Amino acid sequence: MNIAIEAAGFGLVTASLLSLGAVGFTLQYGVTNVFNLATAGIMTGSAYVALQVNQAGVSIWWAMVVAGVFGGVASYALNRFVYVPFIRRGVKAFSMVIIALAVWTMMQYITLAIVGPGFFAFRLPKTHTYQFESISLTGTDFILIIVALIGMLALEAALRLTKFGKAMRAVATNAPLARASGIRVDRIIDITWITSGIFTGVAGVAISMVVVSFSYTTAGDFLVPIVAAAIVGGVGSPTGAMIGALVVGMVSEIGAALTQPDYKDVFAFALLAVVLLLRPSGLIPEKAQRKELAL
Amino acid sequence: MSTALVYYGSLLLVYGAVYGIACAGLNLQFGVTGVVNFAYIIFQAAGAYTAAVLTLGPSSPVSFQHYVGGATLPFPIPLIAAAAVGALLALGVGLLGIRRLRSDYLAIVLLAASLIATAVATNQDGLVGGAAGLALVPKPLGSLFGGIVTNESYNLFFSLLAAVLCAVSYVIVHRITESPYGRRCRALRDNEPAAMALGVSPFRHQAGVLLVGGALAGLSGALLVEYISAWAPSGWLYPETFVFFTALIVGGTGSNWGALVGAIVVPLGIGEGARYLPQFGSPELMVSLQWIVIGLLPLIFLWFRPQGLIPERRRVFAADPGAARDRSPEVTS
Amino acid sequence: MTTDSTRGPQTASSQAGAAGATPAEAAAPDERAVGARPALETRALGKTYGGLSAVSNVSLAVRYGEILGIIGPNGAGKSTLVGMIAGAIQPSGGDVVLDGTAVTGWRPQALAKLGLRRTFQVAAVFPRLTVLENLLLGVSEGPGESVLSVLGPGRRWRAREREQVRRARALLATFGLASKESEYAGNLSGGEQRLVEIMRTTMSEVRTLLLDEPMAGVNPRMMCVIEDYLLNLRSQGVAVIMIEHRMESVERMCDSVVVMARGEVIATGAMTDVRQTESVVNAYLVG
Repeated sequence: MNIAIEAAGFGLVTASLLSLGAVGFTLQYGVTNVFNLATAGIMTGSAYVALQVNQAGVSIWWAMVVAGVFGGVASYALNRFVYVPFIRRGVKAFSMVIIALAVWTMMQYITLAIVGPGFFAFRLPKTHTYQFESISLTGTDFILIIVALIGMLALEAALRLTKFGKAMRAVATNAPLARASGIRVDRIIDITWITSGIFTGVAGVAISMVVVSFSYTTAGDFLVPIVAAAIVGGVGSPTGAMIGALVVGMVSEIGAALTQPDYKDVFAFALLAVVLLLRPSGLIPEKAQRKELAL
Repeated sequence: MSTALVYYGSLLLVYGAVYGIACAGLNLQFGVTGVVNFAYIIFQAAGAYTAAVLTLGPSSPVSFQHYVGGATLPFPIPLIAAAAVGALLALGVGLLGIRRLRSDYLAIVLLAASLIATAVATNQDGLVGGAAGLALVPKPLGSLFGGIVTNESYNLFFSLLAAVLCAVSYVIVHRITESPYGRRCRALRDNEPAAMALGVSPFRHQAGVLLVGGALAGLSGALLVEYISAWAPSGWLYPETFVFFTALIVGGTGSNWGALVGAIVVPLGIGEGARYLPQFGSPELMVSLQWIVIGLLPLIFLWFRPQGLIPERRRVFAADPGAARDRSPEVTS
Repeated sequence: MTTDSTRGPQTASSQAGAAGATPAEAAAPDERAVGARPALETRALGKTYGGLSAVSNVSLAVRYGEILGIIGPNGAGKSTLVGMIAGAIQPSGGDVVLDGTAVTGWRPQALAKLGLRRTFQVAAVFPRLTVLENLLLGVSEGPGESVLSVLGPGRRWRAREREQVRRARALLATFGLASKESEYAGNLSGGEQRLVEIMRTTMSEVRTLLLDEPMAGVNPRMMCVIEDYLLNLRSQGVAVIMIEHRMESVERMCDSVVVMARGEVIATGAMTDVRQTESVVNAYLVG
């Protein structure tokens, strides 16, 4: 039982990491309907950008901010210069998955070519470790959890209260109708990518912090759990993404603790597959009907 | 020097045949019927493991490798069993998701399945040898060659075997695609609701191509493992499926000749071609370059030449229905 | 409801159509008699999407040898209704009865076996197949065509295919598309694709035909050909339900019409009666 509780502690940290990535993914996928697997490449890129900044003497938290900016810009560029041209060409939804995979493959190996296969680590500030029953969390863990929480709440607030947020939800529900109502769909899509890209960038750094030493494949290992979290929670809902992240984080950590540690990812993958097969709208149903690529 | 040439030539032929058979199967599923089988590599792996286990003999506790099952079955049986395992596995895995999911969700589910399969095979030590996999798989029909399987004549035999199997595979997929059954598969690919409204059953046709394509995948795996005598999870990670899809996109989705050309250009061409480039930089750099090219190819082709190098044939029917031949020679578009 | 008043002139093309195509042979003549049980009925059929009602409480019936028009302003739910009848959309409530059999919730393939054929709002051709191949798809599967049997030496399907090719070519000649037989259907104009779609529905024994705006995007000359062809089908006992905006076609072909607005039926009857009804006039002006 202690093992399970201890694993639950890890699960909480994992959940906050997944949440950052999943919130970004769910926002972007919900609005644009593009299955952007290349988000893993952007996470990796942001981690290395943050590394450069951090090694130049900047605190990890400021480096995270820089990474967020990088993520936003990179995501925007990815959409504008790769996805949109292909969508305008009329490729089918599935071909977009191939395109995203192709982009990610290239990103992954370009990263490898540049940084090499070795492991790196951030210079982290020393923090206190808190013990609670069998759970031990460091100060950094706490900050990450809080960042994830604030990020999710801020996004939810933005979606419900701001003009852009409401426009995003309109485009997510029915893009042609939104366009007909006068919404500048292209601009909303750009903003969506930038926003989700910021989350992606921060997620990349957070993941690399928690695993302590990271390489060019680290972020990629988290891709499927992130997607799982987003889909389990219901695509398009930031709150759902956070709940999904909790579910995925807990299930995979506790499941792996009870069986074999290497099976952590297997639980996440299996959860994703099961949810997609049984209840694609997620545990928190947002809206029932999915539609084709919005453009 | 000709011995080295024979060895290298037979290596190219065997690998080309293996990739060719695999691409023929995936083309039938994806190019012709539109089934986005992102877990295709699993079926090739299953075939390889099946063939290996059925030729290695029962797993003994003192051996360095442990696996389930095991027998020492003579030549064609492991290949046939591998094809059967590939077929049934493909049917099972594919049908789980195909009826309910739209294509991009399905791709992700199957991708996840592929990841699960690799993880389980790696971590379950007694299943198929764990991370190290299986090794020392005996080659087929070695006894015919006096037990010597490393010389020229055996290599020639094996390459001939591979070529024949590849040719047979393509005859099979050709018969299917050129029949009314194949036409209905293509209709499902082009417009599933319209095909259903005409009475075409998506289930039957997807099940059929999953079976046949899965069998071909299994066969290709068996052929490969019997050539290289070893098989481990590192050889069938999920990006391998992506390589096959790239091969189809480059060669021409839907076209059987395109699948063969794609198999030769992409997995064979890029894999082997890298040998001939001057070695500059680290080994990782060479690997990276290969994968960067593999990533770039679908983008380039989907943009500039979506129909691929060899586009799908336009089917033309003979002008005079009373003529002796039913079909006029194909006219490529 | 008399049918003769809306008969079109017997043009050469319709004569050719009658001679060349061989759809609708399955049912015995007495089943097709006007007044016998309806070919297709819906009872209180409805569809809601998360609180929004797209179609509610629609009951209609069409008999063999009759053409029923469904008209109404945009967004009235006509296509959703046809989608439910065709099995593409699952109804939220109500029933569909096809040829006396309850078929509510059946999938399109199963309905096709009962002789139901349909066209789509956007002409649903198979773009990467040739025009001739598109028509061949209209024929139901025969024996010896499963995935395993095509691997065998038997070529039972070849002779049958030759016959189908002959029929398809005759049909193409009727509609003036013979020269496009080997064109990819995706390269045809919108109107030509519509023709291919319609021809395809009659390649095999169609008993009930659902048409979703068949005249949309078709040039006027071809409209006459289509109209004559549909009237011909009617005279052979096919039951037709047709969504159409073009009033001239509706008046020329439909024995009766159902008017829909905002998901509900607001009037039924002969076109001449219905167009006077106040609610109908309002729906068109407002909706």
